[in-house]
Parts: sequence; C-alpha cells; structure tokens
Amino acid sequence: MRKYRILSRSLVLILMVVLVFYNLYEKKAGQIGAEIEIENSKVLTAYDYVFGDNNKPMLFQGDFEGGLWSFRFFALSMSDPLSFVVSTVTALEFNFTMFLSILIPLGLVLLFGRFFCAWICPYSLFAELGNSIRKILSKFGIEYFRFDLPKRTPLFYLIISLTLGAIISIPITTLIYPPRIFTEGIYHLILSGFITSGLIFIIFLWLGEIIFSPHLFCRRLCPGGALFSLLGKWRIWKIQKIESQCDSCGVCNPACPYDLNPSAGYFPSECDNCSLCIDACINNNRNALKNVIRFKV
Amino acid sequence: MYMDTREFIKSLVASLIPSAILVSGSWFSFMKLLPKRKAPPFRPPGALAESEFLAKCIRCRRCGQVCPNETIKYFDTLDPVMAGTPYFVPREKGCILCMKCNNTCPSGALEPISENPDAILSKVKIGKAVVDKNICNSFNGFVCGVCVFACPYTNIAIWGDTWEQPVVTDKCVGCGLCEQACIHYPQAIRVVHTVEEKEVTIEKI
Repeated sequence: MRKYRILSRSLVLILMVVLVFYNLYEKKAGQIGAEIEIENSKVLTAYDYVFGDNNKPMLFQGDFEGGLWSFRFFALSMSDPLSFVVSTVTALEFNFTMFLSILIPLGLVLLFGRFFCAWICPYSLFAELGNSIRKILSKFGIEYFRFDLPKRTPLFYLIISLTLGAIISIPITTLIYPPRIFTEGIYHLILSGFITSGLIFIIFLWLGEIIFSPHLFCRRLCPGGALFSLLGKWRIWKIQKIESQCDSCGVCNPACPYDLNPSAGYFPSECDNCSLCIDACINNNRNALKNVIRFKV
Repeated sequence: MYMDTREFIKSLVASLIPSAILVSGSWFSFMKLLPKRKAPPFRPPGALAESEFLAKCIRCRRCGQVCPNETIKYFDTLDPVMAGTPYFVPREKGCILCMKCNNTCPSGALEPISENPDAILSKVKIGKAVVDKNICNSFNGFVCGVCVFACPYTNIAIWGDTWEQPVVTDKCVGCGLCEQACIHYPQAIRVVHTVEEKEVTIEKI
C-alpha cells in the first residue's frame, strides 16, 4: 500500500511541474518570434518534440491548466473544497460556478474521508520522508524530544482563521495550506525563478518536524485536514481491526502519524487510510488490520 | 465530540497563535500598503471591486497560465494581503482583451465576459486612458498617432483628430495597449483608474 501511495503522490508532484512547463510552452509556441526561446531551453525543446507539430494543431492546446489547488482539464474544472469554503466565508457570498467545481472532490471526500492527505497531498510525502530520516537518526543514538499541540487545534484553527479572515476580508486560512503553497511555489520557481515565502515556510516546517515532532503539521494544524475530517465522518473506506487475529502487541500505535489508537480498533475521521499501521503490524499475514470498504458501519 | 474545559482552552490558545500571526502579518502589510492604496494595481478584465476581489480570489494562478500574451503578473508572496493576486502593468504589456482569464476563473473574482467585441466594450472597465497634452508628440508639432492605431477599438474608444491628435472617449476600456505603444518617454498617454464613474485627471496623479 505504501508503495502505491508514494507513487501516487510523486505522480501528482511531477504532473504539477509538467503542467506549468506545458503552459509555458503553449504560450511560447503561440508567440511570433519565440522559437529561439524554445530552442534555448532544453525542457521546451522536449515539449516541442512531444506536443508541437507544424502541420497539425498542438496536442491539448488550451485544454488544461492549473495545479493541485485548482485545475481545469477540458471542460472539467475542479477546485479544492477548502478553497470554496474560504472564498465563500471571506467574501460572504455563494458562488454557484465555484460550487460546481468542487462537487467531484467533495463527493470523494464524503465517500473516502481524508484520503486526500495520504494519496494526493505532496507535503505528506515529505513528512513521511522526514519521519524516516528521524528514525535513521535515532538509530545512531540521536534522540530528540517530541513536541505536541492539543488535539483539536486544526478545527479551532480552521474556525478562528475563517472568522478573522471574514472580518478583515482577506483569506488568511490557506496561507499555510501545503497544496496551495506547492501550486504557487512550483509556478513561480519555474516561471520567475524565485522561491516563494510559502516554500521557505514549508522547508523550515519540514526541518522542524524532523527535529521536534514528526507529522506535526498534518496532525495538528492543517486546515484542509480538519475540513476533510469533518466532512468524512460517514465515510465508507476504513481500516478495520480483526479482534481474533490481533495479539494486542501495540506495535501499530507509535506508527500512526495522527496519534490515533489502531490497536484499540479506533479509527475516527482523522484517519487518512495511510495504512502505516498495517505495515507496522507483525501479524500482517494474518490480516489483523486491513483496509476495507464497508457500506455499513 | 466531548471535550473538557482544559483541552478546549489549550486548543483555543494553540490555534490562536498561528491565526494571530497571519492576521497581524496581513494587517501590517495592509497598513504598509495604505499610502499606496490611492493607486491600486490594474486587475485583469472583469475584476470585481478591489476589496471584494481580495476576498474572493483564491490565488490559484490559472488566469496567468491561460494568458497568451503573458500580460498577467503576480504579486510577490512575501505580502500576505496582495500575495498571489493577478495584476498587469500597462507600460510593460497591455491586455489584448482575449477574455480567457475571466472565463477560466473558478472563484468568480473575475466575472466571465463573452468574447464578443460589443460585450467587451460595455463590460470591461479596467481604467481609462488619459492624454498629457503637454508632452504628447501630436500636440507639439510632430504627427505621431501610434496610440490611435494601437487601440483595438480605433474610432470608438480613441480617434485621431487633426495631425493625429488622440481624443479618448468614454468608451475606453483601459486595456493599456496605447500606453504600451506610446513612443514618448515618459508616456504621454496613460491608463488611470476610474473611481466610481468619477475620472481621475492627470493633475491629481
């Protein structure tokens, strides 16, 4: 399961980079006299080889743009549910077009809960990498203390920052939201060549997580995670514990990035089905814990 | 969802800290921007009023990705208020009024406008071009008329009088192509904001 998750999130990250370069190429190909710029850049030359053809119209011309935060593929426009919530609350106005664009992600969240965190969000990839680095360091005897925030902080942060944002009518909630930061960061890194303050925040956060507390942001601050946890209360995709196969050894508990209690069979909506507890389980061959889709709880 | 008082207060404090940092950061940059607020940036066509625009825009950068002329630029991300919102500088690149940005906008911060020339003329109002007669070549003995021919709505938004002296009408949408084309430095024709139907004259700037 972990292999597939790493693959999926890396694909998302690669796709985001590819898309920005594609849009750059699309513009340059449409401009008169920009052939030299295409020739000078190796990436754009490669794109020219794949998409460009003088006799035919360009492949996918004007058919996709955007990033993880909000994108369009042909007529299908999709946005993060959090972007809709923040925009609606800050402007105090319901936008039907935007509501249509969040329908598919919203449906997926209602069905599968917080799957977005474990399968799509690029930051969780880095967070897990950081956790592995932390484990390697602790093997060499370098022990760090573990810092933690109260349990309900993400929900409170979501509500308070939304309220304050509505008062000053600036969407401050999403300033620390990784999918947005990655979208803008990749865009500016490629097109204007500077590192945005969001990416600097992410780098410091990542280093801080290695030293002080693994998965702290996902667990205790992420506003998107809080929203998806709220929406995914009646999800059908859950990890299940089979009592008869379990030795109650408790190996799965420290593996959980969200500080839940897998050994007690406790999988609330904060669980993002990352299946790290399944990987940690020593009775894995006996299916003591498994990922299941159930229509009835 | 049971919570005891102690946990409630702890969570409240822990979530107030980042919120307070972000709000104070926004407020600080807002105050810093306040003197500059008299001349807000030029937003892409179809943009709402400035305060509504800042509230509604989700900073997804899709308008800049579809812009074929590379007109749309984004603010530096160090400033949390303006960060990531689109704008353009008429002198560097004017807007070619292709109406791609506002038709792709997912949040409604840019209102969709059809590509029909009449619709563009009636709905787009980025600003208005103003001619400085003291420095304009055509008013000072050199027949020029570059701005008249750069305009996508020649003879509707701007027309050339005797010796190609530019006359801007009320139908000007403020795309900035005339300012981009102007051969005089500093620019003799500039785009200025129209504030509540009241024109800002060149003297006030």
